[in-house]
Amino acid sequence: MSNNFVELKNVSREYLIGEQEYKALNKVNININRGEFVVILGPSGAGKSTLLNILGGMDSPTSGEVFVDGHEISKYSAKQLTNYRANKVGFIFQFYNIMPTLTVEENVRLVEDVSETDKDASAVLKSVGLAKHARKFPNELSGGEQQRVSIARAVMKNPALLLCDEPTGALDSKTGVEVLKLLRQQADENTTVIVVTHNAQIAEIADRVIYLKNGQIERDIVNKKPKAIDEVSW
Amino acid sequence: MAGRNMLRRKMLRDVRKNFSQFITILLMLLVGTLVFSGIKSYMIGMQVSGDEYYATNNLQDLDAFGKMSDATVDKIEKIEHVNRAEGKLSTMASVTSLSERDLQLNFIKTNEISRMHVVEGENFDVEKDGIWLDEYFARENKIALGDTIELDANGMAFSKKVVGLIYTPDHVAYVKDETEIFPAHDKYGYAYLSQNELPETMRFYSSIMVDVDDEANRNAIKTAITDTVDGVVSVVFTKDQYSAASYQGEIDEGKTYVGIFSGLFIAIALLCTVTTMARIVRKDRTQIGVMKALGFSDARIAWHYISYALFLSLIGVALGLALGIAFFGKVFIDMETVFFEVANIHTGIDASVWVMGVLTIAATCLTCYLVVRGYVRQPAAEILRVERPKVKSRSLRFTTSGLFRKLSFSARWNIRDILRNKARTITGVFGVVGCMVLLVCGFGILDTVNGYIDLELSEINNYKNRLNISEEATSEQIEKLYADYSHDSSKTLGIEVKKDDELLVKSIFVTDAGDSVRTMDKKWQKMELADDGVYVTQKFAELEGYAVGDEIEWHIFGDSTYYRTKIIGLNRDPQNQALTMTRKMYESLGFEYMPDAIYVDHEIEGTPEGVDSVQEIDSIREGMEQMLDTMMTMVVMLIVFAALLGAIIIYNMGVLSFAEKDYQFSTLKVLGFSDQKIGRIFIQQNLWIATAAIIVGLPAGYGIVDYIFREAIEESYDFSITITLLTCLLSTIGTFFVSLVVSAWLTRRVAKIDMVKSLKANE
Repeated sequence: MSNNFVELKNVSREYLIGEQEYKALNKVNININRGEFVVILGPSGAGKSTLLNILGGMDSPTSGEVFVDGHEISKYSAKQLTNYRANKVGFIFQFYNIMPTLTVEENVRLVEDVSETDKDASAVLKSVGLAKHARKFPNELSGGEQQRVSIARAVMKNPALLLCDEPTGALDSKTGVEVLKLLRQQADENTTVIVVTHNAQIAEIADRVIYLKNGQIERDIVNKKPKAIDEVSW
Repeated sequence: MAGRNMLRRKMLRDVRKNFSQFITILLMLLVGTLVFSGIKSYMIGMQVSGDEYYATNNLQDLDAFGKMSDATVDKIEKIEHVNRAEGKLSTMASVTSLSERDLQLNFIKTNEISRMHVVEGENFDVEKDGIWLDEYFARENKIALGDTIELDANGMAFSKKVVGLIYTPDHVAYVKDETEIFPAHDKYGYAYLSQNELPETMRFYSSIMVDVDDEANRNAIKTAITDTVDGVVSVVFTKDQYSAASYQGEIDEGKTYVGIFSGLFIAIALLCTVTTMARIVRKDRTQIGVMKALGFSDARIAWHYISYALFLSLIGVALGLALGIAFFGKVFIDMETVFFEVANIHTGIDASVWVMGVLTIAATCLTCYLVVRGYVRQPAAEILRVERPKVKSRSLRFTTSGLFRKLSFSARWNIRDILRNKARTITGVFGVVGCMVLLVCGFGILDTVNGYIDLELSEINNYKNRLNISEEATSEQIEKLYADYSHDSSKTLGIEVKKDDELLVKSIFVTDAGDSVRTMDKKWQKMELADDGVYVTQKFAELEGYAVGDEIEWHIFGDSTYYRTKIIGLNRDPQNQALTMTRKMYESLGFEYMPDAIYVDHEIEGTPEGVDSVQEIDSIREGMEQMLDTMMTMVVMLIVFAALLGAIIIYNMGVLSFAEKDYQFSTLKVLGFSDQKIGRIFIQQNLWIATAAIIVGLPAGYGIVDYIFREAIEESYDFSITITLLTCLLSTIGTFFVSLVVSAWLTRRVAKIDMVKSLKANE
């Protein structure tokens, strides 16, 4: 057993698309430390989202082992994975995926049902700058604000692992920077943050950058001098 | 827990946001349950009200007929297990203060059996002067309590003040003679008078009502009366007679309807629910993925969606049950009370209504679960992907060669789409078949009843007026009637057929009616009758196991001599399963032929001598058509509901198929296909489904109408169903029209397809 918070050993994931077999991940090995801010870069079809889904317990590898916080989640049953998602992982999606019929506050408090959280929804909303929008519905918010709701919902769980799939993909540069600040803040508070993106600019602020190509790790670079978030733009 | 509260809020807001979709489910369940509980509560209500009425007002168990006296009553009362016996003298009278109105007068001394239900006025008292009149007849003829009516009963004139408006349990349905099929309350009714109104010489009884202690003893008492009591010609179970039998027949008919129609409606309602829920869940696919990603368990997510179904089905079923029992059932009961006179008639329910309600809710939740299960079982990552059509190229390979290559693009597209989505297509076909079946049933029932009326009143009875000959008519009077009007005549005899140890109450139609009253063969064609035996109706023969060549043993009521007569043929009669023989055959048995009816092919003014009444065939037709009007209301409701259900199913299937094709239609749009062209592809498939449904629905509808008329009608009826070409056309056009309109409506969505969003690919 290593001291890494996240550890992937020879992880492969194969899909059948129509009648064609497709290898989304091919014998991937990764180690990530607790509190690291990791950016995973790569072109479309490289396997970034698949990797994120496996780490998030939303998908399982076809072969290989996945450890998170010392537990082999690749051997988890469906019930254990549900429990894992509920208590260990926070998700942030490119298109926010918040419930359109719940208010901002209700969306954040939704996780109270599945997670033994001690966080206060109002405080979390305040931390992401949405306190005054608490009673609004998602369609009354801008894209950046909706993504902040998504972050607030993820943070509300106090997750050990925060997984972000193109969190700034639908946002302009300025709003994206605001979102990245929030994510960096989480990493600074010892949450492991993994961001999957096409956007190479984001890599400059990460502690570590992993390049994926054709389902394999092409490069794994530790960023010794991450840029300040305000310095990046796209 | 707070979170659970959030999901509940989500549910309520989703319902509000998707109100039209949810209201569809609610309405469908409401309609399905309403039809079921309505028919059921009406049917149960008829049964319970009838039973209560019979018990409260002490309907007799047996009727003994003959010419009898108080001594006969006493003798019958002394038979073991007889509670009580009461005599009455029944005779027909014309109401001279009104035009062409008849009353059956019943002279009684006591009224403990078949007690009057007094709607208005006084209770019966033998010492009281006056007449207790059938309330329906009074109402139809605007006769009020206190009015005086003039009567003529076989030359005896009465002028009586109405002292009571009544119903009696042995007159729930009353027809004045066997030629009438349905009660015509405006033309005839019944009334009761004290026996004291009669001269001493006429204080005898034509029937004695017998109340027994236990129904199980009826047979023994019947035998005892027949064997030991003088003056009794025949003994008949009251519940086998027209009043009770036709009322029970109506309830039994309802039992068939309730199964078929409620079953169809609830099945279609559930189909609507499945399709609607499938649509809603599919739309919520991403949210299901998010909930999974957030750590909600599969069971909790499934329960969240099942709670939609539970919430809606609870409201829909509760409203359906309430409206069905309080309103729809009442509508049916009110329709029945046009014909049947039952005191305190009301709707009723039993456990089956609640069970069906619970089963409907359970089935709705279960179907919802089955729909949701398909999604929640998938890994969260899979659900969050854009749904792409699944294609198994091997199964579609055959569509790439041969004839298929010559088909248009849209035809090939649709064939492949149908092959890829067999379940959805079959569900669509099934739903439209249900709509089609209901339409065919609705129109088919009307066609069949019309066909029956035509058969009875145009094909079989081929005259304008029937002279009902008086029992007292002399030979001279009859000869004069022959000479003045017609030689076509008949006589109907009440008989009992001895079959094994059982005595069956039947009749023999002795005909000398020529072409005025035709006897029909198996194919409903006129048949010629031979003079060397008896004909029995095919249905009677099938029911009792008779065949041509067998001998049938019978005796005439009032005559203990049994005859064994050879069956020389089978005939068919739509409303009376009985025996037929020619006058010559009848006379060859040693009887003197005295007709009780003469058939005339022209108009008649007044009532000739020796004739009790003149019956116009048109007045019978009017009565039947009145009944058709009532039926029409029910059929219109059936057709409206059928069209509504059909439209919703087609709409739901359309939306579902649209959602599945969103990605493909986006591609077509990007490629430059016009909205109209894409719309046509979509409409084409729905019309194919409608066509398939019509091909299946027409024979299925025919089968169900056939079943209804075979199972629901009483044993005495025998007629084939009629489905006219117009019915086939109307049902086909109706189904096609609904499909076309709904499909055209849905194609408006093509213009709204967001090409970029729909085509956003997964990595």
